[in-house]
Amino acid sequence: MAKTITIDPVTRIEGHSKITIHLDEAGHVADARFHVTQFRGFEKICEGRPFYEMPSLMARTCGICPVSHLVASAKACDALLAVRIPETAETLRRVLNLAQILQSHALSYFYLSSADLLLGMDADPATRNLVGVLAAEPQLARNGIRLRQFGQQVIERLAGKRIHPAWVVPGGVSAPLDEATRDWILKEAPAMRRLAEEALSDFKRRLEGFREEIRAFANFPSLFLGLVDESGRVDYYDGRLRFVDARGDVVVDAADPASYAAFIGEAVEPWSYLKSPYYVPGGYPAGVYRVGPLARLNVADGCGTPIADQEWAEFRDLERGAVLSSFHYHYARLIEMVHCLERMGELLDPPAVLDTQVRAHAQPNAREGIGVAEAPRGTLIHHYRIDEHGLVTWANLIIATGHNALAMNRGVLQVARHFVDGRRLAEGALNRVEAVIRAYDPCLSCSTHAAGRMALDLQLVAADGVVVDRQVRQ
Amino acid sequence: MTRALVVGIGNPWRGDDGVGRAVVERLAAGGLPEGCAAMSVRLLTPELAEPLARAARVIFVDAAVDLPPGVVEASEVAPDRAARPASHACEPEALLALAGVAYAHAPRATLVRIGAARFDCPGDLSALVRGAVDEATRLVRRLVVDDGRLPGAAARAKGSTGSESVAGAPGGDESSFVRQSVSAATSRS
Repeated sequence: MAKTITIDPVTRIEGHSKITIHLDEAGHVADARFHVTQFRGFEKICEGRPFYEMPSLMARTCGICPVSHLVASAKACDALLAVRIPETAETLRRVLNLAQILQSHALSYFYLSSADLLLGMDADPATRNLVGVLAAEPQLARNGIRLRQFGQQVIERLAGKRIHPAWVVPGGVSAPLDEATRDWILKEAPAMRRLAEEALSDFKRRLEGFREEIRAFANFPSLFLGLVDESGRVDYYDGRLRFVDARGDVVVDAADPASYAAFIGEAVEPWSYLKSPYYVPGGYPAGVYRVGPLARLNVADGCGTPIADQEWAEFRDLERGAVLSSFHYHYARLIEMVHCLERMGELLDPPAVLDTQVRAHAQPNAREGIGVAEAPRGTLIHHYRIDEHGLVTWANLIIATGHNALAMNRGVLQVARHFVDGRRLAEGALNRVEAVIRAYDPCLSCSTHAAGRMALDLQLVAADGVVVDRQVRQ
Repeated sequence: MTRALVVGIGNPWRGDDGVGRAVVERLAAGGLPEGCAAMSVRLLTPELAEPLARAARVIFVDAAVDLPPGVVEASEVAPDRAARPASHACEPEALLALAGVAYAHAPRATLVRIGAARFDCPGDLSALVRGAVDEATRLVRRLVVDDGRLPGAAARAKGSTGSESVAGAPGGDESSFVRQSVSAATSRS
């Protein structure tokens, strides 16, 4: 008798989704799907709006990573203006983007996933949360809170507010950096970097205990995509697109981000509002690729800062080719936190960062603009077309989480096959199915979060609709 | 340690949801008492546990959907470890618990709630709620200055919901500290 297990909603992620696990007649896992059940429609909402509103409008896509959308959108608008923004403005946008990545990674690792990693996948669900982590590992959890707080404070001091700032504008930024803010960030960043290093060391010490998860958490060959600079190093703000394969060999290099459509196709499935981008030469659905921290460290030849480079080299030693297990998103995320803090110091040190020339002014000089940057969860693409009055006629967004849609589906299937017993639902197995999704840190447009507690109701339903087994978590 | 921290909660673009922030602005405009601090946030998030733990006393100010528009009510809030802090939306009880666990100090806390009429976007405060800002500010200031003393029990009138009204209360009874499960409400006519 064929059955379906439904996990609805998936907990401790940003947004709303469910997972279905389909069992065959023998009770074995036949298929699994990650469904995104919320709909936003930002691409349609913005049609008819003046292009210069786009950064602020697009930032509303998300309450966790508004800065990422702000930056990618402003870059698309820079392309519409056809201007080269002042160097200082680019530096300031870079620092803001680093702060965004830092605070988002801290949220993902410490608030959402650390309970699984520090307390164990089979720990009591009642304590498997941030408060439980604080009770068990108070200093580590406090460090996590401090790191997220610091990232948010940098955003607030630079851009005026933590959520949905409007400082990044077409042509640059709206105000120069003041000396006090620069000095404060430079003073605090080294201490914050040490906190991130402590968390990274702690994680590495625990890795041995997660052998089974490393083996089964979306551990499969795929392509990886990310932006790299002219030296092949991780570049969160600009650079060129690079794809590598599972062996770590470069398959596309130095591609102009504006040519993304030559490599990335967009498919739609009837069971999810999340579109499924794929690598065009690989076809659909075979052209699976991954983006985000794991992908960035796989595609790059290094990070470009001393401590992160050492960590990157150790990380890449995990496998001969690309690091394939999605469990290692956590590992990569921690390395990136260290990298962001190192890089922030480098960018803010030269006196030119206080230059007051931070915006280029122009009317639209192009009808089409594409902006690409690295968001915390991966490569983020904003693509707009405007009419002769500067009004948006068409927009296409490929959100970082979308790139990972095919990979998340395969990951859920792999984990379900490894851990789920079709005859009985074990809470630990259920948590592992969710945890593979958490590893990707999907952000399903979190600004639409419903208020209140997200419950979890998992049902094992027979083909005739009879509920065979059920697990409810409040 | 900060003597008292006032936290206004709400989105200023969502009509009456911004009343907590309006109270904080009014409070700051009148000058904060020595040793006190005030801040406004759209949501309570786990990071706030750290500044909370550095305060002897915290007063949250928020809009309420279950009070008549313009009615002001204050009640003591206690840490609740069973209330889970979410990544970007915590209840005061959960945040206080987090402060206690993470930083070994959960401050004494009061929640001042103001009944809201509308949450339009974009929207200003409704007339009833705008009219309640002064009264809520006076209540918050009194909580800050008197370290938790509410207007006198002798002047309180029992409301229909069981809340105790302090509208027009002349003050007086020095024993009328806010106690857990005892609330004070200001009815507006």
